[in-house]
Formats: sequence, C-alpha cells, structure tokens
Amino acid sequence: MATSILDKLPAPEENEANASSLESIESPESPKSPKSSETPESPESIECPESFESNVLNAPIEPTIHKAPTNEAEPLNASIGSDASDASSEAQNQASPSVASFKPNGKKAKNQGRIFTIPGQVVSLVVLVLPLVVALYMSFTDWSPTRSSLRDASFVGLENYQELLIFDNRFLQAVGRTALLAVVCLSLEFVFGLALATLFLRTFRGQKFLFSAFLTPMMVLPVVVGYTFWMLFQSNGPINQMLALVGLGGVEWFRNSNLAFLAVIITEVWHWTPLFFLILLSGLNSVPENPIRAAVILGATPRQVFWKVVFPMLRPVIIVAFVIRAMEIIKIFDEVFLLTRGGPGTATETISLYIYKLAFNDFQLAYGAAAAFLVLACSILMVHLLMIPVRDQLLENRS
Amino acid sequence: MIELLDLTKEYPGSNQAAVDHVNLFIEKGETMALLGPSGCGKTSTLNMIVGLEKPTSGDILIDGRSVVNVPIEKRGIGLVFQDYAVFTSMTVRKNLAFGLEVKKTPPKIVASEVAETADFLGLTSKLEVKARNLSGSELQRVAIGRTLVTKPSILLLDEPLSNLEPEARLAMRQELRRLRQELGLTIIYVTHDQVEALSLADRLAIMNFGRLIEVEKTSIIIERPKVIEVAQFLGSPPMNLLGGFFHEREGFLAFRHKGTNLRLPYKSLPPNVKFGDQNFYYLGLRPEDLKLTDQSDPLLLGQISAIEYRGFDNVITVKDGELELKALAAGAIPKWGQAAGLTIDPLKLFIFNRLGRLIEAES
Repeated sequence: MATSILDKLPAPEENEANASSLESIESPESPKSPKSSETPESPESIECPESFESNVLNAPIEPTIHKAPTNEAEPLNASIGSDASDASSEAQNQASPSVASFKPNGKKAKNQGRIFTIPGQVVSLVVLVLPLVVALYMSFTDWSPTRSSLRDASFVGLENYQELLIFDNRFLQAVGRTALLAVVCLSLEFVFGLALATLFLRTFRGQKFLFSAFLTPMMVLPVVVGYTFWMLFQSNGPINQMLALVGLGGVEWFRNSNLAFLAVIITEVWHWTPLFFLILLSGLNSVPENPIRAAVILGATPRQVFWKVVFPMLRPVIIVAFVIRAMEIIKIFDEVFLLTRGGPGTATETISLYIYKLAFNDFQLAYGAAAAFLVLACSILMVHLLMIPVRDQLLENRS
Repeated sequence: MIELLDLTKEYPGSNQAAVDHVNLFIEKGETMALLGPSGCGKTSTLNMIVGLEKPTSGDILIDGRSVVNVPIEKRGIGLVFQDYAVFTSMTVRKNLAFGLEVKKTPPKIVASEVAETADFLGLTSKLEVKARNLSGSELQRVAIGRTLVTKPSILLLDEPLSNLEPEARLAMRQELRRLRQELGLTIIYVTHDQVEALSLADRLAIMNFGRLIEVEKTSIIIERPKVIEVAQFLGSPPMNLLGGFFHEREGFLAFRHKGTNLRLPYKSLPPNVKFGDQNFYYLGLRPEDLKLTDQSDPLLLGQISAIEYRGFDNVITVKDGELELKALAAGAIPKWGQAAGLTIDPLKLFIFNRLGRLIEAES
C-alpha cells in the first residue's frame, strides 16, 4: 500500500529511469509528500497516519497499529546484529553509504547519470548514424569510387531518384519481382504454418520430436540453405531424379525463368514456414478458451468457431508474423544469390541483388545508395500501413 | 426440469472425484443456487449439465430425457461464463446475433430478435459499440443477451457477478431477478458468495469436496442448517462451532471445550442429548445471537482478543483459555483486552452429533 500511494506522487524527474520511488518519497522537491518531513526514516510508517482505520479507531486498535512497523523493523536490525555483534557496526557502515547514494542529490545525480551514457552514444553515432548520413548524402551525388573521392563528387540533387523511378526498368522490375515473391511466399508460409500449428494443438504420438524437426529449417544459415537447394535443384540432382521416377525427367530448374523463380519460392517457403508455425502456434495457445466454449454452446460449427472467434483474436499475431517475414523477404539476398545469382537473365533478380550488382559490379555506389534509400522508405511505409488495423489492439492497455 | 442422477466426474490423475454421486432435482422455473467453496465441484457440475464435459458415470435428465449423449447445441441450455467470454472483436449487435447467425437464421428474424433482446437488457444504444470498449456490467448483459437470443429453456450462470464492482453487482442482481420473473427461465446459479445465492435463489444446493451436502429452501437453510458443514459455510462470520462434551454442574449445564466450560441454562438442551465424556457433540452458536452482557454468570466470561470493524456492526472475539467465540455487536465499541461476558438465547443453540447432523429440539 505504501508504494502504491507513493508511486502516484509526482516524482521530481519523471523521465529519469533511476529516479526510484524511494527518491520520490524523500525528495524535498516533491511538494505533495508532507509525510516526508515527519517520518523521514521508514517509508512503512507513512501508511499509518494516513490510513482510514487509524482515524476511526484510534483508541482500541492502538497496540496493534504501533506494533506493526516496529515489529517489522526490529527483527531486521536484530538479525544483522546477532550474526556477529562486532560486525554489526561494519554492516551499518556498509549499509549507510549505499543508502545515501540513493538519496537525491538533485541535478547533480542526474547529470552524473548522463555522463555514463556518453560512450554508448558515441559508438552508436559513429557506427550507425554517421554512415547512414554519409550514404544519404552520397545518394544525392554522382560519386563513383573509381573516379574520385566523395568530397569531389558533384551534387546532383534528386537526379538518382528520378532515374530510378522513371527510367530504370530493371530496378522497377526488381521491385515488382520482390513484391511478387513476398506475396506468394507469405501466403504459402501462412497457410502451411497455420495448418501445422492447428495440427499441433492436439497431442499425438511423436509430437515433441516433430515439433523440433519442423523448427529446424529456420535455424539453418541462409547461405547453407541456398547452397543445399542449389545442389538439390541441379539437372541431375535428387529432385530431378525423384521427378524422373514419376515421368517428369529433365527439368532444367535454373535455365527457365519461371522454374528458377519457383525454385526460389520453394527454398524460401521451406526455410521460413517454421517461423509462421511457431508464431501462430503460440498465438493459438494464448487464445482464451471460454469464448470458444461459448461459441460451441451457441451452436457454432468448428469451422465457424475458427473463423468467427479464433481468427479475429489471432489477427495481431498474424500481422506481426507477416511484418517480420515481409521485412526479411524485401531484404532477401543469400538464397537467391547462391541459387541463381538473379538469373537466368534477370528473372530472379530481387532488389538486394540488383543493388549489390550496382554497387559492387558497376561501382555505382551513389546510385545504389539512392535505390537502397528508396527501398527503406517504402518498407517503412508498408510496415506502418500493415500495422494500422491492429495497432490499437497491440497497444491496448490491460486494465 | 432437470434431474441429476448419481452424477460423477473423475479427472484422470486425481484420486478424488471432482463431482461425487450428486443427486439433484430442479423444478421448471426454479432458481437453484449451487453454493460452495472454490474447487468443490460446482463448475464441473455445470459443465456437465451444459455438455462441455462428459460425466464419468451417472445421468442428466432434462424433461425426463437423458441428455448425456445429446450434442451441446441441441440441449437448449445457455451458459454465461464468469469472465463473460464475450467476443471482443465484434460489436454488441454481432455478439447478440452470433447464436442465430451460426444457425443460418434469416437476417430479418435475426435483426428483430436482436432488437428485442437488446431492448430487454437495455443495450439498444450500445448495439454498434465494439465489445472490447464495454464496461463490466455491460459485458455481463451482452453475455446474458447472447444466450437469451437462442431462447434456451435453462440458463446456467457461472459466478456471474464476481467480476463486477459492488454497485453494478447490485443492479445486476435486480436484473437477474427481473429476468427470472419475466421469462420464467429455469436458472442454475453457481457461486461461492452466499449473499448472492441467498438474494437470488429459491433453493440452495450446498456442495463441498464434490458431494452435495444439503439442498433446502433458502429461507430454511439459513435459519436451521441441518449439517455442520453448511453451518460452517453460511453466515458472515460463520457460526461458532465447538467440539466438546456436556456435563451437569451445580445450578447450570456445562459444555466443555478444550478445558473451558460454557455455562448453559438447563432448559436449553433437547431431551435426547446425553451427558458425559463419551458423548461428543458440536455446539453451534451464531455470532448474531451472541450478546455482550454485564450480568453475572454469563455463557462465557473472557477477554476481548480481537475486534474486526465492519461499519455498522463489529465482529468481536471473546477468548477464555482455548475457547474463542465471535459475536456481532453494534453500537458502543468495547476496548481491546477488556473483560467481557457473552450471553445467548437458549433456544438459539445448535447441537450437532459427532457425524455433524443437527439434533432437532422438537423430536
């Protein structure tokens, strides 16, 4: 009770994380805690004079009320002293400075805290913010590392962006291709993940083993997945050999643009369905039972229960899963690079792959930076749009 | 009309039956409260009646027909959950319509039924509000309304008021009473709150450890509980119950409990009560019946060892040796530690035999 009352008092520095509740009690700056002057030592004693009971019942309950705080305080001291009586003074010596350090030294303590954050801020400034700013500047120039230094490059304004959005068909195609890949992969992963998660709601033999087995692909390095599937899809690889058994021999996966795209999709779905499975399973498990029972009693069929009751409650989880995976697919590089290098031609060239080629094959770093920033802006926009329908549900305060 | 015949539910891994051979008969249009402490099997009983759980053995008859193998939605029973279980993503209208829409009822009928129910429960102005934005008592009404739309003949309520604030609770109690009167529903009401049970039910069925202890009219059970477990449970604070022996003394009758004597007037005993150390009895004294007194030779003379303040009346514990009695006293508040005497109307003593059955004075 003591803390709950005291927490509501306006703390002198509300944004300061280490302004503990103790500080706010005893701080002379806080105007609404008159008790601090009367009982500066033990915060427990604050609740007594304020409590409703003591006003009404002052006479008869007297013994119990006055006992309560002292009873709590005394054994504490006693236990320190009884361990070793000569050590008790030491213990107090140790205790008193640590207590004192919690006491407010006003602005000074706050500034001290800030000093300690400086190294971290410097590091993040140097390795995160600075490169970003440099890249942003770069995207407004015509710089190429083969020609001169960035300082000598001429500022071209929005020319790079204009070029990308209006004239660079290859970029626009890469964007479209990535979007298509995202839509197809996400839909498949969602359907498979949901089906698996629903299966795993029931217990069956070997459930635990299969659970681990189904999660494994997610943990394999993308490079390894890419390389493995590259081998699997070879003209005389295992997949083709199996297809030959059913009379579909000789499929050239990496020479046909559609098949190459399909290979990328298969690889990606195999790799990331487990994430959907895991997220949806935990979502399904956290759906409360009673609404489902209520729906059953009201006569809903299992299908109706799922779509009308369970699915709406699952929606935030689903969207979060989609957002995470969408971000990954926009950035997809490793698997595609190892499987097809974007080929045949540009049939499987995604945004990352194109930017990579721009930057490291053609050395058009400035142009590549512009493309990267465009993609960043678009994906930020997309994530926020996706989140709108569930944002309130996610941020809903539990009362 | 519902009949429970030897209804038993055992859960795997537990050696005690959650519901143990319960026999209960509930009239049409009656309100029956299942009352008991948490974990006594009342919710399991409810779940079996509604069909969420299958009984291990025994039978449930509704209007003389066994429903154990009847699917949930065909039983014509509505259940309102303790946490309401309202569909939070839907509007109130969608919630109310749910039970009809899943059965492919024509939209016109759905609309009129929903309108009628909303009107009955005072929810008309809230129909388009999302259920997650409703207050506790509104959620409660939606939960009841959602069930009423499907026109059940039996309504089961599982702790319906325990999540409400006191004010809303009072209003909701009124609402439930009106519901019962206007719709003539058979209501089974599960609660651990005796005030709720007493204010709403025609009869109480008191359960403990999965067994049905006593079923009786509300007015009777509170006046004369026939079983000691009921006496232990009803009342706030519950009846003082002391185990001990009756002895004859000079000029008075003594009830000896843990070495301390209670002075009882002679005439207070039913004729079939035996004296002596072989005959163990429980003596029940209601806190409401015990009075503080100044007269000499009271029932008990001791010290006030605890005072619990409740506003208009206070629970005062008087202690002598090992013997403690709780009394309800209004008015002037005695001091803690002060000596006090207690007295009681001899007709208001409850004597239970060693098996916990009430010994009737008349017989």
